[in-house]
Amino acid sequence: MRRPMATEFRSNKPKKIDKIMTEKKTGSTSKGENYEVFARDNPERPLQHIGTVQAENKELAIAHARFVYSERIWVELLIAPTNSFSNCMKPQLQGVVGMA
Amino acid sequence: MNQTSTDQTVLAEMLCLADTKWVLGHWYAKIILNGRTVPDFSSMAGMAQDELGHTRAIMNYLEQSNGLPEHQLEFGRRMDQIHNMQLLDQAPTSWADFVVTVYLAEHALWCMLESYTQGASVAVSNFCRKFAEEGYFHRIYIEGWIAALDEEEKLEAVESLKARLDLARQWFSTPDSEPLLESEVRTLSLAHCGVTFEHSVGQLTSLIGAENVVVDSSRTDTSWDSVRRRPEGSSMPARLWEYVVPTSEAAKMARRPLAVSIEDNIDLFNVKKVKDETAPFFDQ
Repeated sequence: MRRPMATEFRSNKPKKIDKIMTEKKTGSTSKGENYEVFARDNPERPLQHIGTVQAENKELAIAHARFVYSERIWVELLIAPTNSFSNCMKPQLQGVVGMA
Repeated sequence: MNQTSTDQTVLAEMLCLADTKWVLGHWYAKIILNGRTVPDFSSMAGMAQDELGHTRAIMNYLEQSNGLPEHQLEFGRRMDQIHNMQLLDQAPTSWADFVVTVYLAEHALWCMLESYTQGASVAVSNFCRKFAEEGYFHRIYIEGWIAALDEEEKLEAVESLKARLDLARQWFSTPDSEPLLESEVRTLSLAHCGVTFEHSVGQLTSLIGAENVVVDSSRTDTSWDSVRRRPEGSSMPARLWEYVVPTSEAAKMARRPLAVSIEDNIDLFNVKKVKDETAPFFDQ
């Protein structure tokens, strides 16, 4: 599928905002996979879950995580596909002993 | 080689990096509206911010170390004095063309930055190392974009590579002598940088399926200005220059007052140094 992009360097002509907004956009699409993002801001502290990103592939997800969660200087930032996690406990999970 | 001559070569070479990052930052700024999700917008804006921040840091350092007025390098040069990579002169014609071009530009910058990271100049090696680290995320993001191209876009990417690769390769043209290598400001030769860049090109060709591509070398100029790393006498296209440094009346009115003007006509390579004792010292 062709994804047009017009990026001529015009500065004097007014931008056609309507056209830009309705044009098919490029970059990552919303069909991507979910990734969980973890980080630690100190080597001695445990990893914390800080959010999720959605991306078409792992490379895009890494970059999204880096640019979206840049509010602190992390010593470590990790991502993992959401569907790679296994349930240990969750509400209505049958056969699990000790659920609160 | 005397100190002044080395300083001038450092100025010229650092401007090649700074000006290329300057234009690349504007390329990223232009495509922010192509994002489809909030992380997309954030990432593109972040990449633009990184590139323009690196430009600002290099220009600031060069102005301080060469005794130039503040903002001289940004607002006090004509478009034929800009050292940006010729690869970025022509606007992208499609998404695939954009992705291929920024891949080449980012990898070329990374190869060049790497040659300074172990150099004798503490300031230059420190900021080059930092820029290379931050550029890692740009490169991985662009590789993600390439991996997400569909078959039709990959064909466009091959055509783009044919048209643009030679312009990127030309950036690594080796001059008769390399004063910065002799003075150990850089520890890797331009030829070595070129070999590393070819390795990156190899990765790109395998990603888009263009192993046997025949590169168009018709746009490659034979007369080469090794100071600006551009063809002799060439200048940034007027429309790109207007985008990077708007000169319309409205833009001028909105601009903060500056102590310098292009009309000052300062000769960058022949400036009497006045050391400012109050300025921050980069080497510490």
